[in-house]
Amino acid sequence: MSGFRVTARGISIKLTESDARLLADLANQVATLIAGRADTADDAALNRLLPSAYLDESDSAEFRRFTEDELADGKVLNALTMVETLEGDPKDGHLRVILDDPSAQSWLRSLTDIRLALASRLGLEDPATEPPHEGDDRYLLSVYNWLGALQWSLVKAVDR
Amino acid sequence: MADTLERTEEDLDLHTVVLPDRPWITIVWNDPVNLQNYVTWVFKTYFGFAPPEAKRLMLLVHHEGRAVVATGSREEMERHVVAMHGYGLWATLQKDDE
Repeated sequence: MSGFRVTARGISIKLTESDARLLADLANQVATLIAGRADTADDAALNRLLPSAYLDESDSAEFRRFTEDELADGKVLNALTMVETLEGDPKDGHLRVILDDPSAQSWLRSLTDIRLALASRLGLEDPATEPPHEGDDRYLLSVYNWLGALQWSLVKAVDR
Repeated sequence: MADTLERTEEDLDLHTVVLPDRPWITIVWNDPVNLQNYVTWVFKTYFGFAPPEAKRLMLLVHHEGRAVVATGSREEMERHVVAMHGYGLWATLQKDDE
Protein backbone atom coordinates (compact mmCIF):
# COMPACT_ATOMS: atom_id res chain seq x y z
CA MET A 1 0.00 0.00 0.00
CA SER A 2 1.44 3.32 -1.05
CA GLY A 3 -0.65 5.42 1.36
CA PHE A 4 -1.42 9.12 1.20
CA ARG A 5 0.71 11.54 -0.77
CA VAL A 6 0.83 15.30 -0.90
CA THR A 7 -0.06 16.55 -4.38
CA ALA A 8 -0.75 19.95 -5.90
CA ARG A 9 -4.48 19.30 -5.64
CA GLY A 10 -4.46 18.14 -2.04
CA ILE A 11 -3.69 15.03 -0.01
CA SER A 12 -4.32 12.12 -2.25
CA ILE A 13 -4.58 8.35 -2.23
CA LYS A 14 -5.37 5.77 -4.88
CA LEU A 15 -7.47 2.96 -3.45
CA THR A 16 -8.67 -0.23 -5.02
CA GLU A 17 -12.42 -0.26 -5.45
CA SER A 18 -12.79 -2.95 -2.80
CA ASP A 19 -10.60 -1.08 -0.27
CA ALA A 20 -12.64 2.08 -0.87
CA ARG A 21 -15.85 0.12 -0.29
CA LEU A 22 -14.42 -1.42 2.88
CA LEU A 23 -13.44 2.00 4.27
CA ALA A 24 -16.86 3.46 3.52
CA ASP A 25 -18.52 0.44 5.08
CA LEU A 26 -16.45 0.70 8.28
CA ALA A 27 -17.09 4.44 8.57
CA ASN A 28 -20.81 3.83 8.09
CA GLN A 29 -20.78 1.16 10.79
CA VAL A 30 -19.13 3.51 13.27
CA ALA A 31 -21.61 6.27 12.41
CA THR A 32 -24.49 3.83 12.93
CA LEU A 33 -23.04 2.52 16.20
CA ILE A 34 -22.71 6.04 17.61
CA ALA A 35 -25.91 7.55 16.20
CA GLY A 36 -27.98 4.52 17.23
CA ARG A 37 -26.64 4.23 20.75
CA ALA A 38 -29.09 3.80 23.63
CA ASP A 39 -26.80 3.50 26.62
CA THR A 40 -23.09 4.17 26.16
CA ALA A 41 -22.19 2.31 29.33
CA ASP A 42 -23.56 -0.96 27.90
CA ASP A 43 -21.05 -1.22 25.08
CA ALA A 44 -17.25 -1.38 25.41
CA ALA A 45 -16.61 0.19 21.99
CA LEU A 46 -19.03 3.08 22.68
CA ASN A 47 -17.44 3.54 26.07
CA ARG A 48 -14.08 4.05 24.43
CA LEU A 49 -15.44 6.29 21.67
CA LEU A 50 -17.36 8.45 24.16
CA PRO A 51 -15.26 8.00 27.30
CA SER A 52 -15.73 9.29 30.82
CA ALA A 53 -14.28 12.74 31.51
CA TYR A 54 -13.85 12.09 35.24
CA LEU A 55 -12.58 9.07 37.13
CA ASP A 56 -15.44 9.69 39.57
CA GLU A 57 -18.56 8.08 38.16
CA SER A 58 -21.13 10.61 39.36
CA ASP A 59 -19.11 13.61 38.09
CA SER A 60 -18.67 11.73 34.87
CA ALA A 61 -22.36 10.94 34.44
CA GLU A 62 -23.34 14.56 35.05
CA PHE A 63 -20.74 15.86 32.59
CA ARG A 64 -21.82 13.29 30.03
CA ARG A 65 -25.40 14.57 30.14
CA PHE A 66 -24.20 17.96 28.95
CA THR A 67 -21.52 16.98 26.45
CA GLU A 68 -22.06 13.50 25.02
CA ASP A 69 -24.55 14.39 22.29
CA GLU A 70 -22.32 17.06 20.77
CA LEU A 71 -19.26 14.82 20.94
CA ALA A 72 -21.21 11.99 19.34
CA ASP A 73 -22.61 14.24 16.59
CA GLY A 74 -19.09 15.37 15.72
CA LYS A 75 -17.93 11.78 15.39
CA VAL A 76 -20.89 10.82 13.22
CA LEU A 77 -20.21 13.82 11.00
CA ASN A 78 -16.53 12.87 10.61
CA ALA A 79 -17.49 9.33 9.64
CA LEU A 80 -20.07 10.54 7.12
CA THR A 81 -17.56 13.00 5.65
CA MET A 82 -15.25 10.06 5.10
CA VAL A 83 -18.05 8.12 3.40
CA GLU A 84 -18.82 11.10 1.17
CA THR A 85 -15.23 11.44 -0.04
CA LEU A 86 -15.28 7.75 -1.00
CA GLU A 87 -18.27 8.13 -3.29
CA GLY A 88 -16.39 9.02 -6.47
CA ASP A 89 -16.47 6.98 -9.65
CA PRO A 90 -13.74 4.34 -9.79
CA LYS A 91 -11.68 4.03 -12.97
CA ASP A 92 -10.06 0.72 -13.91
CA GLY A 93 -10.94 -0.71 -10.51
CA HIS A 94 -9.37 2.17 -8.59
CA LEU A 95 -10.65 5.27 -6.84
CA ARG A 96 -8.55 8.41 -6.54
CA VAL A 97 -9.49 10.25 -3.33
CA ILE A 98 -8.33 13.84 -2.87
CA LEU A 99 -8.77 15.46 0.53
CA ASP A 100 -8.81 19.15 1.37
CA ASP A 101 -7.74 20.15 4.87
CA PRO A 102 -11.14 19.85 6.62
CA SER A 103 -11.85 16.45 5.08
CA ALA A 104 -8.33 15.24 5.97
CA GLN A 105 -9.11 16.25 9.58
CA SER A 106 -12.33 14.25 9.44
CA TRP A 107 -10.48 11.26 8.03
CA LEU A 108 -7.85 11.36 10.78
CA ARG A 109 -10.50 11.39 13.50
CA SER A 110 -12.72 8.88 11.78
CA LEU A 111 -9.85 6.44 11.16
CA THR A 112 -9.07 6.74 14.86
CA ASP A 113 -12.67 6.00 15.81
CA ILE A 114 -12.84 3.00 13.48
CA ARG A 115 -9.58 1.63 14.91
CA LEU A 116 -10.80 2.20 18.47
CA ALA A 117 -14.03 0.34 17.73
CA LEU A 118 -12.20 -2.54 16.02
CA ALA A 119 -9.64 -2.76 18.83
CA SER A 120 -12.43 -2.95 21.35
CA ARG A 121 -14.21 -5.72 19.41
CA LEU A 122 -10.93 -7.66 19.07
CA GLY A 123 -9.99 -7.19 22.72
CA LEU A 124 -6.76 -5.40 21.73
CA GLU A 125 -7.17 -2.77 24.43
CA ASP A 126 -6.04 -5.34 26.94
CA PRO A 127 -2.34 -6.03 26.26
CA ALA A 128 -2.76 -9.50 27.81
CA THR A 129 -5.11 -10.58 25.02
CA GLU A 130 -3.55 -12.90 22.48
CA PRO A 131 -4.07 -11.55 18.94
CA PRO A 132 -6.54 -13.70 17.00
CA HIS A 133 -4.94 -16.31 14.77
CA GLU A 134 -7.89 -17.51 12.74
CA GLY A 135 -11.35 -16.85 11.41
CA ASP A 136 -13.15 -13.52 11.11
CA ASP A 137 -11.07 -11.96 13.87
CA ARG A 138 -7.88 -12.76 11.98
CA TYR A 139 -9.31 -10.86 9.02
CA LEU A 140 -10.42 -7.95 11.22
CA LEU A 141 -6.94 -7.77 12.72
CA SER A 142 -5.42 -7.44 9.26
CA VAL A 143 -7.93 -4.67 8.49
CA TYR A 144 -7.03 -2.98 11.78
CA ASN A 145 -3.32 -3.07 10.93
CA TRP A 146 -3.97 -1.78 7.44
CA LEU A 147 -5.98 1.13 8.86
CA GLY A 148 -3.05 1.92 11.15
CA ALA A 149 -0.65 2.12 8.21
CA LEU A 150 -3.16 4.24 6.30
CA GLN A 151 -3.55 6.63 9.21
CA TRP A 152 0.20 6.83 9.78
CA SER A 153 0.67 7.95 6.17
CA LEU A 154 -2.17 10.48 6.49
CA VAL A 155 -0.65 12.02 9.64
CA LYS A 156 2.67 12.30 7.80
CA ALA A 157 0.96 14.00 4.87
CA VAL A 158 -0.98 16.46 7.05
CA ASP A 159 1.88 17.13 9.47
CA ARG A 160 4.50 18.57 7.16
CA MET B 1 -20.23 45.30 73.29
CA ALA B 2 -17.35 46.74 71.32
CA ASP B 3 -15.06 44.05 72.68
CA THR B 4 -17.39 41.29 71.69
CA LEU B 5 -17.68 42.63 68.18
CA GLU B 6 -13.94 42.88 67.78
CA ARG B 7 -13.44 39.37 68.96
CA THR B 8 -16.04 38.09 66.57
CA GLU B 9 -14.23 39.76 63.70
CA GLU B 10 -10.96 38.19 64.74
CA ASP B 11 -12.58 34.77 64.89
CA LEU B 12 -14.09 35.27 61.49
CA ASP B 13 -10.74 36.16 60.03
CA LEU B 14 -9.21 33.00 61.38
CA HIS B 15 -11.91 30.88 59.81
CA THR B 16 -11.97 32.55 56.43
CA VAL B 17 -8.33 32.21 55.52
CA VAL B 18 -8.57 31.78 51.81
CA LEU B 19 -6.60 28.82 50.48
CA PRO B 20 -5.23 29.39 47.01
CA ASP B 21 -7.48 27.61 44.54
CA ARG B 22 -5.94 24.31 43.58
CA PRO B 23 -5.81 24.10 39.81
CA TRP B 24 -7.37 21.41 37.69
CA ILE B 25 -5.38 19.25 35.33
CA THR B 26 -6.02 17.41 32.09
CA ILE B 27 -4.51 13.93 31.93
CA VAL B 28 -4.07 11.96 28.72
CA TRP B 29 -3.87 8.20 29.30
CA ASN B 30 -2.00 5.65 27.28
CA ASP B 31 -3.91 3.31 25.02
CA PRO B 32 -2.54 0.63 22.71
CA VAL B 33 -4.50 1.92 19.71
CA ASN B 34 -3.50 5.50 18.99
CA LEU B 35 -0.43 5.94 16.84
CA GLN B 36 2.55 7.84 18.18
CA ASN B 37 2.68 10.27 15.27
CA TYR B 38 -1.07 10.92 15.61
CA VAL B 39 -0.86 11.69 19.35
CA THR B 40 2.10 14.03 18.72
CA TRP B 41 0.15 15.71 15.93
CA VAL B 42 -2.89 16.19 18.21
CA PHE B 43 -0.75 17.79 20.92
CA LYS B 44 0.81 20.15 18.37
CA THR B 45 -2.42 20.98 16.58
CA TYR B 46 -4.76 21.39 19.52
CA PHE B 47 -2.51 22.73 22.31
CA GLY B 48 -0.05 24.48 20.00
CA PHE B 49 2.97 22.79 21.57
CA ALA B 50 6.29 23.05 19.74
CA PRO B 51 7.20 19.74 18.08
CA PRO B 52 9.80 18.69 20.73
CA GLU B 53 7.36 19.34 23.60
CA ALA B 54 4.53 17.52 21.80
CA LYS B 55 6.80 14.54 21.26
CA ARG B 56 8.04 14.63 24.87
CA LEU B 57 4.45 14.50 26.16
CA MET B 58 3.52 11.73 23.73
CA LEU B 59 6.47 9.63 24.95
CA LEU B 60 5.52 10.37 28.56
CA VAL B 61 2.01 9.03 27.87
CA HIS B 62 3.50 6.03 26.11
CA HIS B 63 6.08 5.10 28.75
CA GLU B 64 4.49 6.31 32.00
CA GLY B 65 0.92 5.47 31.06
CA ARG B 66 -0.27 9.06 31.48
CA ALA B 67 0.80 12.68 31.19
CA VAL B 68 -0.56 15.98 32.42
CA VAL B 69 -1.01 18.05 29.29
CA ALA B 70 -2.76 21.13 30.71
CA THR B 71 -3.38 22.97 33.98
CA GLY B 72 -5.99 25.63 34.74
CA SER B 73 -9.61 26.20 35.64
CA ARG B 74 -12.10 23.38 35.74
CA GLU B 75 -14.04 24.81 32.79
CA GLU B 76 -10.91 25.05 30.65
CA MET B 77 -9.92 21.49 31.50
CA GLU B 78 -13.41 20.26 30.65
CA ARG B 79 -13.07 21.87 27.23
CA HIS B 80 -9.68 20.22 26.70
CA VAL B 81 -10.96 16.80 27.75
CA VAL B 82 -13.91 16.95 25.35
CA ALA B 83 -11.55 18.07 22.59
CA MET B 84 -9.24 15.11 23.31
CA HIS B 85 -12.24 12.77 23.17
CA GLY B 86 -13.09 14.33 19.81
CA TYR B 87 -9.64 13.27 18.58
CA GLY B 88 -10.13 9.80 20.05
CA LEU B 89 -7.58 10.23 22.83
CA TRP B 90 -8.49 9.00 26.29
CA ALA B 91 -8.39 11.96 28.69
CA THR B 92 -9.79 12.87 32.10
CA LEU B 93 -9.68 15.90 34.36
CA GLN B 94 -9.21 16.17 38.10
CA LYS B 95 -7.99 18.46 40.84
CA ASP B 96 -4.23 18.67 40.89
CA ASP B 97 -3.70 16.87 44.19
CA GLU B 98 -6.02 13.90 43.79
